[in-house]
Amino acid sequence: MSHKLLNIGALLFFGLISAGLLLSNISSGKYRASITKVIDTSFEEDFLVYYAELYQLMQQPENGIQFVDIRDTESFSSGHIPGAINIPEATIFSKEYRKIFQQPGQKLLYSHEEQEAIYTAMILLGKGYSNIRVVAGGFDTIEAHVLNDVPDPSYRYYKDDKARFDYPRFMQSSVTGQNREKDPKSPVVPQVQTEVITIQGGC
Amino acid sequence: MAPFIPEGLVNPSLLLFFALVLGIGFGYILEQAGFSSSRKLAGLFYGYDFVVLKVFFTAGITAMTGLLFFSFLGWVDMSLVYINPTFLWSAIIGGLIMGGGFIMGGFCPGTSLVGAVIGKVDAMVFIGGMFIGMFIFGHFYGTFEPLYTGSFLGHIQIFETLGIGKDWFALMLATVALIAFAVTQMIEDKVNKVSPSVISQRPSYRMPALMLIGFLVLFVFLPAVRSSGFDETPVDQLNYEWHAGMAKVTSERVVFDIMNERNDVVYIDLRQSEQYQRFSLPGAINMNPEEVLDRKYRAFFRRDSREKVFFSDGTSVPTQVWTIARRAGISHIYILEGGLNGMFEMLFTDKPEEDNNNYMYGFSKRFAKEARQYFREGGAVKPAPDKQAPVHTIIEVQVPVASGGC
Repeated sequence: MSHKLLNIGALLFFGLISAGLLLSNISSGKYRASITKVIDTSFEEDFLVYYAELYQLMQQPENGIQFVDIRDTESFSSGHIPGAINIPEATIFSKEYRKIFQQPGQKLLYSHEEQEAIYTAMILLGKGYSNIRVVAGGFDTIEAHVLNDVPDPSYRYYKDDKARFDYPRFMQSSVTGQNREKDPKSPVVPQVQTEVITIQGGC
Repeated sequence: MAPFIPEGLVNPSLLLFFALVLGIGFGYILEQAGFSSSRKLAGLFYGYDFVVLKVFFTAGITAMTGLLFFSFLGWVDMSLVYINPTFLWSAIIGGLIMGGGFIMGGFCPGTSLVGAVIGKVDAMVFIGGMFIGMFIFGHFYGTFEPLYTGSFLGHIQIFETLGIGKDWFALMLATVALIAFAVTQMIEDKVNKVSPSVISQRPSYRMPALMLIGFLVLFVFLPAVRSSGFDETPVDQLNYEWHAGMAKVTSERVVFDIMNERNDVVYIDLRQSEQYQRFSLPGAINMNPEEVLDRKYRAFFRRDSREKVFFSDGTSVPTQVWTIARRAGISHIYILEGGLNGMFEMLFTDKPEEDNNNYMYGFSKRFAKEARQYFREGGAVKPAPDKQAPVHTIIEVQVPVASGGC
């Protein structure tokens, strides 16, 4: 009797795990890398390729690096980084391009805007591809400040996420502009209360 | 009671009630398994009954296999699972004392209570001995303290110490357990002089053993994909939302909401805290982009139904955070299109004159003018009307110096 119960229990246990694996394969959306890994990679210092590095890379054609232009074909035809291949963003996740991203060497993505390339790069990282990086800025900025004969020194470390305005200065003429100083905590900030519990173990 | 208490699903004040219910259940199972008899435990050391070893090893292997797969599937968040810290020498000496007590008394603390409850006198004597031991330990704690708290190795795990993956360690441990079951059975049969005809008629446990090894071998080859504990949004869904523009809100919309003091939206400033202190949007909270999935923000993202708008100077960092958070299943989150740069450009940069007869152009220009006036006059930094902010309870699990054991 106990023997049968053990077998039934084992079958139920492993059946539950099998069902979980099957369902997760259907609903997980085919990620191959954990969120933690994507966070670690995408927030690394060298995830963005600044123009100082980009210019150097462009001077060395045999560096094993592949530029990937994810704009539409028409935009690519009207200008692109020398040596770049065009894989439009809409089709980049299809099977036919798998081999390109599986090949060794860094893949440097760029688009009209930095954020488009970043989103695509993060999905590619999530799909388990490595060596994916993003060229800072959009193609117009790259073209204006790198593809010239002499790269613009003031754009050596340009990136989209840099303040272009001195924000408080636009408020200084305000009559009531000091209110923020008086009440830096706004009512919409959720209050967080902490409750401490102590774990007790033993059997 | 993880994950129910740390996730705020069960009131922590009910902790003792659940402890009582679980304790009764555990005691009942121990008694039903025959562990209330001191002969069971002592049999382990004399070689005539290894059922205690089999039960506890089976429980450990089952829990290990379950946690491996459940955390892989995202059903259990291993970051919330408590791991006893290691105090090396106190563990070794404590283990020896406890083992000696097992041999002499035939009970462990749990089984002695079960035995005492059903009226076993030896169990009651054992409990008396336990209390004497506790008294001695408490009375001379100052003497024992250096040993008790020394050689602290932290929350280490064996597979890390051995430098192997937890998948390989699990496979090795399960194999060792199965070999131990077979060897101890042989010893037991020899000591009890069981006839070969009885042995040959025993039921086979090959099926569950093979399933265990098969699944652990499978785990070794599974990619380290999911251990986040989140209900992840599929790639296709994420792509659809991104390309359909569902991830973004325009500067105009945000400025309009600020001007109308809309309070069902939270702005999340992803810049560094110094920049946030210097200037931010009204009511914005500051968050480190890399900590967006941190436990401290889970209640906020899961239970606060307000829309959340990520912003920074530009759009790259908010895009990273949106992609991570949306993949992790967090909904009602958006990116401020163009970031603060885009918003200030819209507000304070004069656009070239276009077709003055264009209705939309005229409307946009008038809106920008009004918004500029509002921002310059400090409207955007005005505190929002009094509203009771939601209270989120974060349960901090306090780790005791040392606990556990049986």
